[in-house]
Amino acid sequence: MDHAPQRPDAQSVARRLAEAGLEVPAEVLDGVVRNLNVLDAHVATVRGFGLDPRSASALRFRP
Amino acid sequence: MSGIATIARAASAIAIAAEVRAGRVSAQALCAAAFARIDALGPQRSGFTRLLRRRALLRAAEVDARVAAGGDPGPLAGVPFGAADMFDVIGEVTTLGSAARIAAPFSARDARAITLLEGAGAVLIGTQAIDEIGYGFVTMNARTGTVPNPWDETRVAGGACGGAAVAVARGLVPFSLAFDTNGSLRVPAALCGVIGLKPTHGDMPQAGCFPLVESLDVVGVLARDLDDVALLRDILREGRADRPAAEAPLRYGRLASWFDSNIAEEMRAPLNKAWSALGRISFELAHAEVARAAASVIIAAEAASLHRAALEADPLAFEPAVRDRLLAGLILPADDYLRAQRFRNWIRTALADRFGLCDVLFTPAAPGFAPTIADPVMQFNGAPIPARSHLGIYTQPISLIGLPALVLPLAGDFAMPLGIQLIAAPGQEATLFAAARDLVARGVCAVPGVVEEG
Repeated sequence: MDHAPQRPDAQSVARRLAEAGLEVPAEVLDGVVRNLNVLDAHVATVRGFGLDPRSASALRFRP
Repeated sequence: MSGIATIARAASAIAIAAEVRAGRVSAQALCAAAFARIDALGPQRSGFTRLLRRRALLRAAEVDARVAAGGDPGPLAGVPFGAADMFDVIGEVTTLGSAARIAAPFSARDARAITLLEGAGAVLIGTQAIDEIGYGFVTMNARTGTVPNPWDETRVAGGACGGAAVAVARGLVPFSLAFDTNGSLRVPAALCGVIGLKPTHGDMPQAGCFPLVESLDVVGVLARDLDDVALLRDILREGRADRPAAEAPLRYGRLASWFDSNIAEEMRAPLNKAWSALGRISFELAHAEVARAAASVIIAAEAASLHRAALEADPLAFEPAVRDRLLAGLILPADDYLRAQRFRNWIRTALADRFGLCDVLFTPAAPGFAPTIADPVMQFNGAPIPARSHLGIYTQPISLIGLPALVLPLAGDFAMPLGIQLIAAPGQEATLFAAARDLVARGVCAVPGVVEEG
């Protein structure tokens, strides 16, 4: 089975937004896809760092 | 120009307060002078979105009455100031510069920072323009308009707190209350040629400042005078004990790699000159690109969650550039948000040893001159990209790590202001002030005079 991430498109974004409980007009979807592509690049950079979950807390907000 | 106009326009907050406390200038006259100049400039060129005339004049009258009775209204007696439109003002809607907030309830109280400043004698005269909900680096707002840079009105002021920076650069007020999530006050400080303090997370009171990203937001200030900035911080910290500055001579280090890439041509030579004056030591901040990516992930997820109800009610109430970023953030997997937070805490710990080797790190605060309003782009890795989302490339990693930073204009005869970002260890704001004074004394940095009105 291929687990490679799929590039978002208007259809998949509409579905994901609906699953999150949001109905949005079709004309906004292209803009969301463009922003999601940028965000996915940032996500890939963070995932690529490969930090062991035991190395740091995710829920400590103050220095 | 009359005496009152000169004082109101060019003097520091401390100097203005001294005049008011001595009874030589009235707080009401200062307010009236500020309102007259703001009216003449109009909302976009002044940076003000809303003037609080009645409130301000009543408050100023109280200050004058106290002086007349032989009392002392405080160290900011009669000093007019503005606040970015993220701070609650009693009886007003905190609009966040957004049409999505038009029907929001009136604020029941002032933000804590406003209360503290007015408790020291200052007079809030109005609210100032921001990018919608504080999400952007350009202060180009579909509802309140684009705030032009006072040094060249064809260029952006920077954002999100562009109105606050412009008001200070024009000398309409000696300081503005602002916020910083990812560079929100540091970028406009750099592009408008004023001082911007982004303190350590939690250093100044957040209560009543509408959040954008709760794990990154801080309250800060913009001003033209270092002593003013230090006084404002003292007032806003409510007398809490402070750590002493590092011992002189301060040790400086320039951050390399990420912070040395994508610098515009006009910034390169002045920054190298400053580096030479400060010892030509450089440090690596490994994984800065991951820090910037993690910051972007955290911002997208938290901002979307905070504004979810408004998105559900009417996504079209937001301007497209902000709405599309929020909707993308809303469908980000929780795992990716938590990974970004985990990285954040890891890099904070990893960086701690850098400050054993130097006291103050520095970087450009923005890549170069302010981009144009007509074509608000900047160069990144050789390609043009939107300035709205990228002008904070040097401020974002510092926010993620939670370090205090102070932006100061570089000295020199440039076509537009250029700003340097000074960075210290958490809680070392006193070291930032010492460094800023050192750089001014050495002629490396200088705050330009107020912008002449055309």
